[in-house]
Amino acid sequence: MIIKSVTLENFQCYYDIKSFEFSSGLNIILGDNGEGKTKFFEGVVWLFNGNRFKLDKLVSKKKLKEEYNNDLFPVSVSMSVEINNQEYFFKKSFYVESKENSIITSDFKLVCWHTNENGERDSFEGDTASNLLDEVFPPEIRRYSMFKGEAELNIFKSGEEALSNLVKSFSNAKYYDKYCSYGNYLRKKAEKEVDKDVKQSSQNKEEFDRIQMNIKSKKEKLKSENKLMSKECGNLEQIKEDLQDADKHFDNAKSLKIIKSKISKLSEEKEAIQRRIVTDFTIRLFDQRWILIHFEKIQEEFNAKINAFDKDRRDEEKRFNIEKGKAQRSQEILEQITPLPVGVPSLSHMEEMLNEQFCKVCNRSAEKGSEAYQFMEKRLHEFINSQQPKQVKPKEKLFRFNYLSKLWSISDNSTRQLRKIRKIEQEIKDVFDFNRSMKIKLADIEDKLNKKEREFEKIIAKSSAEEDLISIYSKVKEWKEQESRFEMSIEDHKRTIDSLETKLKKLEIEKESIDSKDAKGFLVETRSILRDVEIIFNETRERKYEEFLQNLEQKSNEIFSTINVDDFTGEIHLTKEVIGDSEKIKVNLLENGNLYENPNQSLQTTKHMALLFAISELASEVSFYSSEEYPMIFDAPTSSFGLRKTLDFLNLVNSTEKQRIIATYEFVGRDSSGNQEIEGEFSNVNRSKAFWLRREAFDKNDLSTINTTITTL
Amino acid sequence: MDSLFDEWKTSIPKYSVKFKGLFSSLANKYTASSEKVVSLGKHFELQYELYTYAFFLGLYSNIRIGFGEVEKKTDFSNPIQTWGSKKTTREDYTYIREYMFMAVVAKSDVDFLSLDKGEVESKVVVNQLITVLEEYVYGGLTIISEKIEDGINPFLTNDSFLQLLLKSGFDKS
Repeated sequence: MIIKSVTLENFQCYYDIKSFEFSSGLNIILGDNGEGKTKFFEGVVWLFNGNRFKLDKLVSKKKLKEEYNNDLFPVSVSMSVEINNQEYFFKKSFYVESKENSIITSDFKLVCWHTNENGERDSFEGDTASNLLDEVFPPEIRRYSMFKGEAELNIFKSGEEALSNLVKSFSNAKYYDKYCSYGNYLRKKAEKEVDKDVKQSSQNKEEFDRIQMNIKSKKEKLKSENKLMSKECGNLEQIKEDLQDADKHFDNAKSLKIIKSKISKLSEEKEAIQRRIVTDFTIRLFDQRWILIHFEKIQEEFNAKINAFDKDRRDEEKRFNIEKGKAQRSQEILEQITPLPVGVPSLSHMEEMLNEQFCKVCNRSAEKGSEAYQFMEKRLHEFINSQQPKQVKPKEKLFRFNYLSKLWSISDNSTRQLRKIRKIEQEIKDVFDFNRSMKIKLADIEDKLNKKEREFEKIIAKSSAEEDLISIYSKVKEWKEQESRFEMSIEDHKRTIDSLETKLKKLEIEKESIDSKDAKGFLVETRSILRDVEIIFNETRERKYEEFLQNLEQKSNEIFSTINVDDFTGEIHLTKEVIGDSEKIKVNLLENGNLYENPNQSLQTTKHMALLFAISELASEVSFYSSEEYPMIFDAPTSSFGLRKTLDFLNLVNSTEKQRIIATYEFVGRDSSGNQEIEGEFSNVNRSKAFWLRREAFDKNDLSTINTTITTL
Repeated sequence: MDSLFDEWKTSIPKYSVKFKGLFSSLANKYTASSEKVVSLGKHFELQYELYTYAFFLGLYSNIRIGFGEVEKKTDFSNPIQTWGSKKTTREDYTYIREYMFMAVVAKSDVDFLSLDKGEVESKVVVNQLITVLEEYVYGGLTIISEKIEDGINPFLTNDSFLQLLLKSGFDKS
């Protein structure tokens, strides 16, 4: 049988009509906590087993709000299945009317449409439809096919009931039940006949009655002791499980502490890296001279300009000096003869010669106005002027200022600094490279941080609330005291039972001896035969039990070795335990023949899964439709696995090629903006089909805004 | 003294009032920590930093725009000689004044021989050089405001102004 589709209509968070189209093989439903995985599972469970109570709780709040004071609207869960090339479509539905202050729901109706291999279609309703549903997917198989959460996988937790159900469903031992009870009836009948005969003929009637009374009372006491011991064993086991659960919480608390410290360390690393990432680029434009990145060409332009002006200035200055030098030189050339020094002849001689208009140096006449007279007059003035205080004549200059020389020194200084400008490009590149490497590191740390935060959330999600944890802490002491009290009490019961059994045995021997003396021989013989017949029936049934358990153990181990993701090399061992008047199966893990103490949760889950898959195989062997395989549906079965193990586990489940529908919150992560995303690792999961459940944007304070959407991946 | 630079740096250059909005949105009037500046969308700690940046952006992009005849001008009352002095959280970058001066000298038409000969007054030359500075600043501020007017604010990341400067056309010309 395979489930081809499941459709939920206005069922809880599934507003309007939402369908899952499944295929054979592994179907995975991904969804974060609260996105609708469990509601899907509950929908399927309601289709199979749901009763008519509290139907209003199943209605989509969004639809309810939308249809307030409007017409009736339907709520349904339907499933299409294929078995032996025939198709069945089951739909369980009811109608809802949303009126002021009340929700009125109709009774539900189950309808089945059956299409046979010739394509002919029939429809059935009520009990017929219900019987068909049970025939197609028998309740005893469903019991071992649908599991919510990790804890439910341990089907033997509830003790004898689980075993009898299992045997009743899948073992040949069930056929021996009627023979056993008939054998028991015959043996009792024979005992009674013997007793009657002995009573009639016995000479020691009183003694016989005493023994018989004694046997009866001992048997009653033994029965009551066994009952008490069995009850106390049950209580002890419950306490042990509670203590184990408490341990699990302690483990969670411990893991939580470790993860919290890792998160804080990673957050510190993240902050340190964020601090190291360079962000002050605009400041560095100034403080690190980066603003001069393209300045070299401007510098060249400036230098060229200043050099050109400087050269022009020098050229002009040179030309000016040459011109000035030339003028002076030509005067010297013109004058050729070196004059006498000023004051020769003396002032008095010069005045005398001028008065007499006669040059006594040349010894010739020098009349007033003549060239010689004027020469003497000039010489006299030169002497007189030379005696006056000297006035310095300003030197003739072409350039009055020296701005260019200052500019030249700026040019010269800044040229020396060019090396710094040339390094800027590399400096900027280095900073970008550094930032890039820091961002890679940051992304890596953020990734790790996200994973740790997810782990943290998961532990919180699967642990009890903090207050529960505190209450467990306080109860542990009390449970431990109770545990030792029960252990002591059970020991007392065992001793009482041993003593009662010894006494009973003794009394029965006494009674047997009277029987064989006083009862008719054929009656004693018949009783003996019927006792043997009862033993044969019981032992045969017992052997069938054993065979079934061995078969189950063998199949479980075959599967266990395939799906064991922890590389555990041991095996599953099933043993039937008889405590008092009850029987139960213990599922242990053995390694090298020794009990493997305290397996971790994921190993436990793998063990339970292997057992369930084995039961599923056994179920197909005893199916109404011969060798039919049945689908299995699991809601979050691998909470303790973590992502890596879940991935391996799903791949192994996929390799079994049987229809399994597994809902998990693994592989749903968050991107950098906090939006949900399917993590990359999911691409490594082999599967036939996958779905992603997400709620549309909703107001967390208003349930009527919730609507789960299904995306087929 | 004959130092044109010393005379030039006492000037307070101006910018067109139409860019006043840019200064108030991109630069703080007061010093703040760099983190705060960016988070407030203010990349420049001081107004003259934006002014200086605009100058180099205009210079490297070779965009030089003169004031319109009736265009209103404004300034932020700090003479160039105060720009870049050491602050508590920042490095001294007074070097920048000299580089700006060199750039305006390189790009000006001043006849320095006439200046040295005394045919032109230094005051006139300083005004010419300040005009060159203001024209490149005008060019740079125009580039920035056009980017913003394009719609999406391109200056949202820490390195936007650096990137704009790196991409400025000068080195490609």
